[in-house]
Amino acid sequence: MIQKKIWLMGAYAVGKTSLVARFVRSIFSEKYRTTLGVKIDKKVVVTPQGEMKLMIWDLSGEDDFIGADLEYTRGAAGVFLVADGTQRSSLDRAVALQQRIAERIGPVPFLLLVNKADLTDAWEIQNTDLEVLSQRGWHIIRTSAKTGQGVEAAFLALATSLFPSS
Amino acid sequence: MNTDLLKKILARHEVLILVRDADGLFRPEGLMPDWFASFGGDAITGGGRIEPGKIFAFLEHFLPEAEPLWAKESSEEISSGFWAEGLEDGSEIHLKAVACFLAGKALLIVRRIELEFDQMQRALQRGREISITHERLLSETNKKEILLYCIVHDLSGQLSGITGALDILRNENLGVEARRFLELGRLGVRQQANFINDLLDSFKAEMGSESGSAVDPSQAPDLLRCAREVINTLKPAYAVREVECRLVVAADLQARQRVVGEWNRLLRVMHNLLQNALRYSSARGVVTMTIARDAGEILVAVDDEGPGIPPDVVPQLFQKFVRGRGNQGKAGLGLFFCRITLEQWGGTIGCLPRKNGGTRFWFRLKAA
Repeated sequence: MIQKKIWLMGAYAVGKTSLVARFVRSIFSEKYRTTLGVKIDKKVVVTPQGEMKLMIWDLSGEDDFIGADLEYTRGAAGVFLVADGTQRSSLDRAVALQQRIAERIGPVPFLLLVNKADLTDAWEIQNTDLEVLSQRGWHIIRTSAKTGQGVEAAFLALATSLFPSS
Repeated sequence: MNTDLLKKILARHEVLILVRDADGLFRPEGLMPDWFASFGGDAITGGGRIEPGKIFAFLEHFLPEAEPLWAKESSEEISSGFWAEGLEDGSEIHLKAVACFLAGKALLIVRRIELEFDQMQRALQRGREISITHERLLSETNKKEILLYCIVHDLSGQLSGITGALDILRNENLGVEARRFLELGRLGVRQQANFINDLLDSFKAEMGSESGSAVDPSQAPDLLRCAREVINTLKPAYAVREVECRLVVAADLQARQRVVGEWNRLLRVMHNLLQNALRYSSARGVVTMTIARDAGEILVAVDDEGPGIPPDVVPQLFQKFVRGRGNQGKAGLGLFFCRITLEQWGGTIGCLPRKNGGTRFWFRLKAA
């Protein structure tokens, strides 16, 4: 079976670990538990092209306490950049991370997940912000680790894009 | 110490010791710790040898870093840092690896570090929770502060009207009883005015200014520095939207152009205007802030290339809770705040459609 390593990166408390928990174990907890270092999970996804085993690397969020160690991302087949719709600054952080990844390890397929879609009334990120990124060629999926909205679709979309073309 | 005893102690302390063979595979040394039973499988060869990179994906990156150290037989050691492996039952296990060269052997020591991880995790968690709470409080306080300021400011305006009406009544031919009630009313209005002034003073103090505005040139805010600071703050947001923010300063302005006002609130006014302009700009658009001298005052103009403002919205634009241009604003307090703040400093604010599309927001302040 094809095996691919994918990364979740972004500011802290945007819901990266919750997205993995929702996808891998179908669970969600309201309690915020920060990730230290790297957490690795695995799941097999069934894409139209066949099965793929995803090694999901969930990296501790970036902030003043911890910076993202991009050395780990070498060998990453794909990246999820995760932002929190209720925090405008988390989108800026995701954009900056994408630039750093591109400079450091070259072009890597990525998807932007704008999480907390269950809280759209409190969103600071506006549609116009996302439209600009879409026009730049970014693929964006609104997700909610809480309700599950967009989560399966996001992992499936990234996995499908990683399948080697026959 | 007895070797068997030592091996049991290490296993009890959840330490996995692997010795690197010349062919790059690893042999377990001593007893396997219990936690290792959750791993293994395909990555253990028939001879009981191990490929750690296949068992622990995280080590794929660490092992190449350790190779030079083992090759040099260095007395130093390197650590992998923490990582967590999710197990099939939903639990997770926290590990840390160390590579070193001891007693002629290249060693990879993998240790389960639940206690150490827990302590580090709790410290980081606490720091981040405090940070999240702090940011939320700042955001909430900021919103409430502006709302309260606006409400109290409005109350003050209405009170001026009542005072004027009562003053006119004083000149009327009133009876003794009516005059007594009138004076009671005037006393109440004065007390209320004092109360409102105290509240406004406390807002000003919280915003870092005792006087509200400074006409003393040494205390007055430097408008150009303020503009550059706001543009710098908004740079990431402009970059994401691919909108360029230009600052054009007229040649006849002083290097430090001070104006009547107060630093923190002037920052907020300029921030509001540039943020509004960004909100309605398209990708690759340009927002230009122009600062110039005009009729003895300093004129600041913010030009955007957005869709413009419907003429019927313009008259209400600087009122409270009015959200112009398709209701994209937040609480509808930003422009209201700008107006009452600038008016308090003797300034004015307005907006105009631009000839070739877009909107110009402008404000004027006295030079200090």
